[in-house]
Amino acid sequence: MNVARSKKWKEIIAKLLMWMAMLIVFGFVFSVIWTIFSKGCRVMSWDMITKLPGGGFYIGKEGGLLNAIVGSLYIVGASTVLGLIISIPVVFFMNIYLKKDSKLAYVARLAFDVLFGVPSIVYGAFGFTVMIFFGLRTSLLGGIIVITLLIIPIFIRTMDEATRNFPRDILEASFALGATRWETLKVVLRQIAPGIATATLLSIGRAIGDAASVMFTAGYTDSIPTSLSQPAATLPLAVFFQLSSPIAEVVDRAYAAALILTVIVLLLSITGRFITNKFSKNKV
Amino acid sequence: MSIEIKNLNVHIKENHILKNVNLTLPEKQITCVIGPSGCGKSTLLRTLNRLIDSTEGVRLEGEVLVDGQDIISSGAEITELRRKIGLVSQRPCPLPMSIFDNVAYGCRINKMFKKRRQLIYHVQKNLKAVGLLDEIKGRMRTPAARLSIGQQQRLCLARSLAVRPEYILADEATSALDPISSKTVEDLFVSLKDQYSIIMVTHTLRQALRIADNVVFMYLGQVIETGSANQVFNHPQQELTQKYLSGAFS
Repeated sequence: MNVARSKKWKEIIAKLLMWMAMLIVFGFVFSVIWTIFSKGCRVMSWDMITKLPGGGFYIGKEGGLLNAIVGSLYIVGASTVLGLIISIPVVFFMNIYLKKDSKLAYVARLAFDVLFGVPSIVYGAFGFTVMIFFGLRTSLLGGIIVITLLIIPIFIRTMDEATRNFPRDILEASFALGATRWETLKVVLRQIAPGIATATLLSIGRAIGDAASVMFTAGYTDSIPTSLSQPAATLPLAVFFQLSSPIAEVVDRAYAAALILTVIVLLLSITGRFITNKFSKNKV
Repeated sequence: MSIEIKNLNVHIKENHILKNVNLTLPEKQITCVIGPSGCGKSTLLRTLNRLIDSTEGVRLEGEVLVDGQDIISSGAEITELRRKIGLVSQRPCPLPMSIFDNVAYGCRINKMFKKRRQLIYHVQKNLKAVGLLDEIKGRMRTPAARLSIGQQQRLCLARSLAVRPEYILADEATSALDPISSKTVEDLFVSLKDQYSIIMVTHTLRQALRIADNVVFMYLGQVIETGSANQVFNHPQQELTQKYLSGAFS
């Protein structure tokens, strides 16, 4: 009787704790979104997403954030493509060409884990040093390269996890039909496509939201870059600079930038989920 | 068209897995390889299509002549060999694609057809051969992973048949299946033997009794006895074979 009662209480307390934890998380997400939407919507206008800033980003009260939107999309788009091109072969090499207990794969995974944990400001500082060494100025190219370096470890480790659980029988099934390794890789690609989609989403999320690494490398500007050697504005830096402005109207505009950033990330996650589900269809 | 194995030795790291195996596998018949677990049955099978290559630290010695060509020597064309020798493994392993694409995959990589119509006809023919076509009609585009295990195994067989092999290796192909699917697959093998040479590793003596034309009994990496099913089952010459058949060990 007593045992039954204490068990019941334990159950109730455990449930309560879980509910509270859930509430804290939901409350947090909700308050972030609420703050950004309520403050952002007040200053949001069509001009904000279609016009370049007027009168300088730090003190100007006119115009919009088109420079930062386009700059962010340029940098994220290019670095995601570059990141994928570099990461997929690495993941294949570690999981399919190297043997299971390979030392090289072990060292590589360790290295990527370390890089994963390196703060983005360090990437920024590193990029800056390299650029000074080559005599380059802040530019779109610099931003793309540093963001690519920043997201490669995320790409590789996320895809690596997806590929490691990959059923080895599929390799044999493909080889047994007379497939070469190259042809078999394409089959592997189908199986790990959901993993690639997840990795891409995570990487884009990190890339689009990172301010520290682009500050020294991509710089900031009021115009849209027309070549790789020109500096480029980004949304996180638009938030950063405008929020630190002494003029109240400019500070408000920072929330518009934050709102745009949040909406882009939300849209990406939703489409990402949709795509992942579509890719998972054939997974065995 | 036959497989002839001469003085085959397989080492994996320090272990001597197959010891001096000499065998002739007759064509257009079912040859069952029996023996207790760990006796090298699967290794023998995996040597025949060189899937053993992916095992770490493997060393092959001797000769395996497939249609008179030694497949152990370094010049052997492995992808063509594997096309010629189909494999149905223990657990069915559909590829991560639709039912249709699973069967079409081998045809595509081997560039068997120029026209799509021919490919569709060929896929349907092979699905029919394993009795799947009627069961999945209208669902050709659904993922293969949605089929039942028994259906998946037959799909794997259809996939192997689609690349027009001459031999079929079956590695305990029915052991993961329920009794009904198992019977269906077994009957399929019997019906296919006048077109293909089938080499089947099996754990169940009863299955070997039911379908084998020839039997190879292996023990600890050696071939102990080989001959027609009637001869091995009813008049075994070796003491070990007699003991194994009487159930003294398994």
